[in-house]
Amino acid sequence: MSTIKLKGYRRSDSLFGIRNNIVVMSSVSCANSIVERIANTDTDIIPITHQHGCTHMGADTEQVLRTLSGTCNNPNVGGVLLVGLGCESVSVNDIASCADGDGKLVKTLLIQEIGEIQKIMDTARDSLHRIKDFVSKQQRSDFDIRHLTVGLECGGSDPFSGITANPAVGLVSDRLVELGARVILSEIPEMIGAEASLESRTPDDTVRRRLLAQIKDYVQLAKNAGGDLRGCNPAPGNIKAGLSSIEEKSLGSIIKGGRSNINEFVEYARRPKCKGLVVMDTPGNDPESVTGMVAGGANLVLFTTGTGTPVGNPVAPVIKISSNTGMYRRMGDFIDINAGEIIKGTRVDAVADKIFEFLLDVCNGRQTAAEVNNCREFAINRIGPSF
Amino acid sequence: MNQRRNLADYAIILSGKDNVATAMVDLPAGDYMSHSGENQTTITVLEDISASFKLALSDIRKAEPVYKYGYVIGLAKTDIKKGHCVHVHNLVSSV
Repeated sequence: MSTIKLKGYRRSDSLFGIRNNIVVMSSVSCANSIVERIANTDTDIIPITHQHGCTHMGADTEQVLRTLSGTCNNPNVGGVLLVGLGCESVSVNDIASCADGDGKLVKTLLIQEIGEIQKIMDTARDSLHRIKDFVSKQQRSDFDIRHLTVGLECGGSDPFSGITANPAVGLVSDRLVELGARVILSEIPEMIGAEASLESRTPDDTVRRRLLAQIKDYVQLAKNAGGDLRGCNPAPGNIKAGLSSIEEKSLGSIIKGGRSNINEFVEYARRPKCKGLVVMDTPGNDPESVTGMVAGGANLVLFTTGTGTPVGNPVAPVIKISSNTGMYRRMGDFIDINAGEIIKGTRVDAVADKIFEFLLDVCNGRQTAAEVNNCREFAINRIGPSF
Repeated sequence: MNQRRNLADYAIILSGKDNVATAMVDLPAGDYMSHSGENQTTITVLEDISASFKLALSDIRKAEPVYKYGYVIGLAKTDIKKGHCVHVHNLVSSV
């Protein structure tokens, strides 16, 4: 089988980054302002803040820790400064101990331990100096595309999403799978009604059962919250635009995963073990879903949109693909590839080739619209309440 | 015959199993040629169909499945004639 070589930053034998990001991350929301202040001193440093890290229970504490450590572990990250308060439930040491040592430098700082703001800023500057020194010595080297992980997302879909952008991304997904890479399909609530298609290409009994059970769970969760995903989907706007049923909407969404077999089902922000197409349990909320896939190791995300959205990610390039030309013309700054030309007669596989070529360029360093615009959404999917 | 429009210029059939096509642009009522493999058939579109709405490619009887992407997207609520628009007025979700 033919293969493709890319240039990336080696973290281990099977993990390569396509970026060499330096991140300053809060372990708890109480440290957010300090993280912003530290990041403001240097444009090369990416701040990651969030609303979690304390006063949540069991499954949430695990999920927050998994998401934060997974983000640090993403191969696109070369160095991390973790900033904690000192009394939170998700500690900087918990996050650091989950982060790889290989090819990456992680440092920690506790606000309560250091005390004064100037001392905190001085400590941060020293740590970042060492991280920058470490990261600057790393060079891009050849790696095989089979070490790449790509996440799939759609947000602000329109009726053309399922016949232009998503089928084109589906062809790219199949091609990546054939080349031995890993592709993550997500957004479980957008699979309701498409079970037959997913079932027929999930050979493993356990994987199939877990996936189908999770789809059912979302229907029940919505009911418990007083809603009905089947009743409100397709939404009135979808129906007005020609979508007739939730099956049609969901099939149009999952087509971005192509026709490959589904090899694994992983929980939110968990790094998959299998190559090929895998499914991650994420919600339809775009920033939360993308954050989960990137914490699960996605090097980059292919993101289709009908209504247009700026959503990016702090550490992974997000490639935006528009489903219609009207939106592309209005929001061109936010879009990398226009699949809307399929409506005017361009072949789906020609657009897929364009997306694939762009993806290779992005792996080798080309910036996406979301990167140019500094769109860096980070949102952790939350399960229960704060106490 | 040669003046007949080509359905493929107006609508897309996403799977060989499908009994609906999706209009990519506004699809005016009238006669069209449809190619599937080597077979060439004609279809009379019975009503104007707006872009992104669906066209029945064959007669679909009440309670029969409607296929798009090669999978069932719902059941016919009423008998649907080949050439008619398929939407919430004649299709019901089977979820």
